[in-house]
Amino acid sequence: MKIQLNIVLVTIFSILTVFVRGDINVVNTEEADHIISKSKHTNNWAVLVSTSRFWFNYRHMANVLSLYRTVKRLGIPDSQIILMLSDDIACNPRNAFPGTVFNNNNQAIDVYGDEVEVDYRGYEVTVENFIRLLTDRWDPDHPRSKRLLTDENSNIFIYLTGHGGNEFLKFQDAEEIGAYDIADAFEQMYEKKRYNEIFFMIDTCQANTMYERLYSPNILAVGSSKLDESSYSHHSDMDIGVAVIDRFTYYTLEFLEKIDKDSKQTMDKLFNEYTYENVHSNPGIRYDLFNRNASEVLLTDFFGNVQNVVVEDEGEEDILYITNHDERGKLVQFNQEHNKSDESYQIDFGYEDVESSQQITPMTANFIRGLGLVTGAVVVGLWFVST
Amino acid sequence: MALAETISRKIHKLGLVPKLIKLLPIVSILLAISSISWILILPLNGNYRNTYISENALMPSQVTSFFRESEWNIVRGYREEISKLENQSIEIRNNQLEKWVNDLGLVTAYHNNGKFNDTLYAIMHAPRGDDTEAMVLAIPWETSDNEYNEGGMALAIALSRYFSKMSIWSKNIIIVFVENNQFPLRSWVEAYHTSLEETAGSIEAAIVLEYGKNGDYFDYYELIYEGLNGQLPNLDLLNTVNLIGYHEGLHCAIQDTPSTELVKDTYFTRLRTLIRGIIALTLTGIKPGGGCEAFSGWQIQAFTIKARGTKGPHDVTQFGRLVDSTFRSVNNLLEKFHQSFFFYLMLSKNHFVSIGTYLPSAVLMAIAFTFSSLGTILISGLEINSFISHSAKILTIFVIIEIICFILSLTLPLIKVDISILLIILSFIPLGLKSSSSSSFKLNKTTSFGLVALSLFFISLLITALLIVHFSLALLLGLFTLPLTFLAQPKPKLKTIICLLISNPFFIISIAGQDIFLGLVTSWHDLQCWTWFVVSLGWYSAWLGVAVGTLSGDFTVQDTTKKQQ
Repeated sequence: MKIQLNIVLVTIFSILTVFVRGDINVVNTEEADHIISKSKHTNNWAVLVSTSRFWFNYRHMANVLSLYRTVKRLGIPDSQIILMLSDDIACNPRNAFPGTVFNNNNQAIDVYGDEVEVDYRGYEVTVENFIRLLTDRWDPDHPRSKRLLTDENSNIFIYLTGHGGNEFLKFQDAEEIGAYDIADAFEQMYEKKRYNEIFFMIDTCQANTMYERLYSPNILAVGSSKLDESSYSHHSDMDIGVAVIDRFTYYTLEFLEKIDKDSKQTMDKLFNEYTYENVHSNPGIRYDLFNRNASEVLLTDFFGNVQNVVVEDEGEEDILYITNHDERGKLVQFNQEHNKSDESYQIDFGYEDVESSQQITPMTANFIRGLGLVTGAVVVGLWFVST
Repeated sequence: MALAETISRKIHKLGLVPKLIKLLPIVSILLAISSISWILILPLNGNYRNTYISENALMPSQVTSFFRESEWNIVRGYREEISKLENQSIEIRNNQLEKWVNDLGLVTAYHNNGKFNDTLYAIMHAPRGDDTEAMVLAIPWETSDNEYNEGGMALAIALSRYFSKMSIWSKNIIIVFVENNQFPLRSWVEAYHTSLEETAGSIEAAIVLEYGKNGDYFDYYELIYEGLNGQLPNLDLLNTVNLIGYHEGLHCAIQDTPSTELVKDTYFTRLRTLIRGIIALTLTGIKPGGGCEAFSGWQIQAFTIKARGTKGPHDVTQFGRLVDSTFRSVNNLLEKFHQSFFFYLMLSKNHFVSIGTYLPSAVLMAIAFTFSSLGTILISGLEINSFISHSAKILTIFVIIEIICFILSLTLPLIKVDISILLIILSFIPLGLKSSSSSSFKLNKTTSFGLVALSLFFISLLITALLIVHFSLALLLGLFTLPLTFLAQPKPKLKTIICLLISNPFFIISIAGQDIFLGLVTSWHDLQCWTWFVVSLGWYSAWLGVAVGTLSGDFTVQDTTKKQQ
């Protein structure tokens, strides 16, 4: 009896708290416009590939693991990240710090960490697997966790690092992928409606040659260096005895470290980091396939996951439309100051912010507060009585 | 066709063919001169290249070496103890060292080479490695300057102690304590690959360490890198140690560069290094060298480093860091050394010429001999057909000479008579052929011209066969036998004798010294160096062929131009 009563009380309390506290996340529609992406995607995926093996390519592993950490931090779940790497660094006998991979000589962050889920490791990192992954052509028994299960609403971030040359990228000293192969794979993805937008980032020598053959729409591409140009490492760790990160990736990460899940930073700010002084090569950006301006593209469109949901009033059958309009299809006016030209409405559960929310029964704020206090007093009284 | 015909008519009309035949000896000499000039222009700016690290995995000087001041005390301690052992037998020394390295957790074993004292070696199995590859640090008890290698021994023990504390090794480390760096070391290397029970996988690189009684300080280090039979360590390994030395601020001497000229880089210093390098590579295995040649033949890249001077600004731990950092670089390798050059000539520690640049020199020399051989036949004034009909006889004589040389090559190493007498016999007796030759022994003109031509052509073939594997030997062989090409003209007899004498291998060896001869005849047995067979079966047999042809035959040239017209 006592227990049941307690449960009832807790439930009432929690309901009350919502009423009393109000909603701190309220935004007006103008702000919502900025927050809500113009990308029209509903889910985010990341494909992160380090194509090299061997101890002296430590930095490529650090590159890709750093980006893995970043996209995870910005909200893409492991189930939507495909990580391909040779994974021969952390447990390499030459590693002075077994089980770790650092991306800076300050050794502040062990990017190998505890929660790294590698989807394709060692000799599974092949051109064939990469193309199969992109185009999703697998045996029927291929595990779903290792597939890129995207649809026409998916934004995909694809990051490649390794040793490249003019229109090719080396996969583990054994084979190469050509710029045409990637371009054709993307075209297949487009035809099969496997993406909404792709952000293609590549950090290799002569990287820009890899995106020049792309021809499918809605792809934004950046590379670290132009034709006949090398990409360089940023610095070495003298205790580990190898270069730990590449310049291009270093400056990408340095910028991304400053943003969080709700960041409204746009892509052009990131691109501003890609100067010759920083990267020591000429990074390239390809806009022509992409129909948005970089200044309108949020970084979280690709590096983060979809966080903000908006219900637009274009559809006529949705619940918001029905509650907001009368039978003749006329907008119901709840408040005179309400902005009529709003394109979208924020669903709001607060009682105070009347301008963008509606209430089921007409009550003033003071009345609700009073009611809350009285109910609280009654509940406390009941509790005393019961003990 | 018309053009070819016109040209051929023109050539015939102008009588170019006889003129060219007459010019052949001059062309031959010009080719020989251009061969030498080719070597002389290599040290000019633009003809050589700067060294660079070719293998990405090496990453020299990218890791901090902690073999520093704290380890210095340990080196000092060991050196103190090792200096007390100087007057003890190698057996007692080995026992002491074995105790020390066993305390460090290293596996020890002995190798009996049957000639010298036993060789102690210790294996440090890489704690996290796959136990298939190894690096060797070899320390002779006696340095190549016949000094007690107490600094080297102390460094080796201190380094073993330091290495055994690190977990980063992917390759095993073998420390070899050997009596000296000649036969005992070679014998150990051979046994390692054939009979030893305690092994640690294939050896990728080896360092022979010499740090005599230099004390705590040294001025600069000397790098010796020649291998047997023209083999050299991969250039990447030398570049690695030199780059590490550069980052340590150490100066390096190669090819006996005087200490005052270590940083000098002029045409003459480069030329001197080049020529000394060619001679040193030819004499490796014949003359006592740095010890790194003991590792030749098993795809082991090896070099010797020696500490020079006692006052200098550098301390003993820097010498240790040179070894440590080099081992760390080699440890990073995933494959055998293969990226950089195996055939090169150094001009200074950071300049080199690769095989493609220097090879034409020996090619020109080989062509000079071919032309000379052709000239011998053409200026004889004899019909080609007569040579063909005498070919059996010519070949028989040459084969007999070869057989004599073969018997000599096998017996000379066994003969224990006074070497100077032996050398004189081998140099002068054939010259006496002329006086002693009876009419029954006398060769006719065709045979004698044919034999000389065949011998010269044999030298040409020998140079061609050697020029890639052992360029230095091929070039020097060409230079020494060059006087033989001067015989192909009518000459006074005295000149013939002098030319024959100065191109005789045993005459040259007796001038160079008895040690060279002893080294030469024992080098095959001790070190598997085949220079002796090139000298005895190649050089001496060709020389005998020419000598027999010129001295005991009719080797007079008639005025051929008149006859042909």
